[in-house]
Amino acid sequence: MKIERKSKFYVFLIEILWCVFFLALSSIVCTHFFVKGSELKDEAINKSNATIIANNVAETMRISDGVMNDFQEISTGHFQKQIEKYTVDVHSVSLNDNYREHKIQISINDKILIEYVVVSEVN
Amino acid sequence: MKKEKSNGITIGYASIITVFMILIFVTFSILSFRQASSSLSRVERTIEVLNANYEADTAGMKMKMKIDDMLKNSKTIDEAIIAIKNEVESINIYDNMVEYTIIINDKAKLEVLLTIDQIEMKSEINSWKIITTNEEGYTQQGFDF
Repeated sequence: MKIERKSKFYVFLIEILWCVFFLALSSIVCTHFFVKGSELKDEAINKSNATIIANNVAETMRISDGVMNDFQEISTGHFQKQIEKYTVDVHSVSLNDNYREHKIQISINDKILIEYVVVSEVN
Repeated sequence: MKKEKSNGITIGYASIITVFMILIFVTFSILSFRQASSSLSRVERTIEVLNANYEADTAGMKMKMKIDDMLKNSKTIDEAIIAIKNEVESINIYDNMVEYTIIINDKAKLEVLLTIDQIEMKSEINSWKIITTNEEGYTQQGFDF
């Protein structure tokens, strides 16, 4: 009787071990999917926010004839502004007396998320 | 004897529960990944559309700049109109109006109508609009999701 009990316990133990092994194996795959999903979701949120910021800046450039009041001038024709965790860079080049070209870049941690080129007319 | 032949692999309640748990984990993780992936592709598609819109807008403004330059360098309006017609392709000039179209993509185009100020010899925007075929939910601001 004693031998039979040990054998049953042994079989159950082996089954549990197999279960733990497969659970651990599937956890690795699932965690990988969850992490990748989370990274993609963060990228989507960042790009979506960057689009809104870039649109606002681009429209402001067009309406205000390229005048950048609330931007900090880094170098000649290079203006910068920080909006939350996003860095807005504007590189302005004069095309002629009346027109200016603005290259708008939205980046996060030196990674460029979005880039627009807008031409404004100076009245 | 039968148990010994099965090499210790038995199917009990624990195995069934484990299989069920693994199925749930895998399903939820794949759903999460697919949702994030489709969300990112939607955002990238919108960025693509907006980028095309701004590219067309820039092209339109550069065309206006070219027209302004020609008006500025001409002595009379007739001379300017001839110069514009010779230099710029796909442009319509009638009365004091200049009309041109910039193709954004196969579903949208930018139509520009400028008025020529004969006294100051420069152009002013009369109309600046994006015309869409509105197919597949395409709008001026991108796709409707």
